[in-house]
Amino acid sequence: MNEQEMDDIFAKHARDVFLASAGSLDPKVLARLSEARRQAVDAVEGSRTGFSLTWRIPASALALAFVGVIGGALWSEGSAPAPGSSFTAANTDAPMMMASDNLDMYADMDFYQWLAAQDQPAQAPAADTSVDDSDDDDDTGVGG
Amino acid sequence: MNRFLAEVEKRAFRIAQVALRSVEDAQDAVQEAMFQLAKRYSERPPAEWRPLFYKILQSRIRDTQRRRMVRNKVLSFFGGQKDDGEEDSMPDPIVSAIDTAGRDPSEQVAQADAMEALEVALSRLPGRQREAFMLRILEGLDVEQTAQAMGCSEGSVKTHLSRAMHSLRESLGEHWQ
Repeated sequence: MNEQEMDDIFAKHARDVFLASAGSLDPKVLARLSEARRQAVDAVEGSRTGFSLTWRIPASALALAFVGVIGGALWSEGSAPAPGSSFTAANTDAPMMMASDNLDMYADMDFYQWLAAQDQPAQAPAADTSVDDSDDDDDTGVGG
Repeated sequence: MNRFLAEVEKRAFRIAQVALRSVEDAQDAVQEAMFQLAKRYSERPPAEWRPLFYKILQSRIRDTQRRRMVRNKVLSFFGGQKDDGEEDSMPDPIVSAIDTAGRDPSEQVAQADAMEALEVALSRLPGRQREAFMLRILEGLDVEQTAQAMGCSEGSVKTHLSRAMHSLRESLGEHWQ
C-alpha cells in the first residue's frame, strides 16, 4: 500500500467519524442552529421584498416630516391676519418705530394733530363763505 | 437558502467546535456565518454558497481565536486566571448519549473516542493546516472550493493538506484507523 492509498483510507475514516459526530448533536444545539437558520432565511425574505424594516423607519420619518412641513405651511397661511388688523398694523408700524429720525415727530404728535385741525377750514372755503354770507345777511336784516 | 443551511449546519457547527473547542463560540460563529451568507450572497448562484459560507465561517473562527488570544495576554499580564473560553459549555452527556443514528452503544463509544482523539490531534496543528484538513477532508470541498474558502491558492491548499495528513497520521497512529 503506497502513501496515497494510506492517506485515502485515513481521510475516509476521519470523515466517517466526523459525520457520525455531526449526526448526534445535542438537541439544544440543534434547536439553536434551527433558530439561527430561521433568522437568516427571514433576513433574505425581508430583503427580497425591497422594503425591509431597515427602510421602513426612514421612510416613515420622511413621510412624517413632509406632512409636518405641508401642515405648517397651510396653518401659517390660514392664520394670516386680515389687512388692517392690529397684527398688520404692528408689523407696518415697526419700520417707522425703528427709524430714529422720526421719533421727534411721534413725540410731538399732539402738535401735528392740532396743526392739521387748523388747516382744515382753509381747505373748504365755499362752505365757510356761505356761512359767513348768511351771517352777514342776518346781520344786515337785523340791522336793516 | 433554507435547504442549503439545513444541510450544512451540523457539519459547520462541528467544524467550528473543533476549531474553537467551545459550544457557545461555535454556535455564535455558525449563526453569524448563516446570517452573513443570507444577507450578502443570497442572490449568488447556489453552487457558490458552500465555499462562501465556509469562508465566512473560517473568518469568524479566526476572529474569535484572535480575540481570545488578546484576552489571554491581557489576563496573563495582570496576573489573572487564564480564561481561554474553551470547553465552557459542553453538552449534557446524558442527552448526548441518545444516538439519533441508531448505533449500538459500543459503536457510539468507539466513534466518540475516535472523534475525541481526532479533535485533540487537530487542535495541535497549525491553524492553516487544520483549516485545509477540515474543509477538504471533513467537509468534502474540492481543492478549488477549499482555496476559495481559505482565501489562498490551490497550491497552498495542497501543501497545507499534505502536511496536515502527515502530522495527523503520525500523532494518531496506525491503531486509530
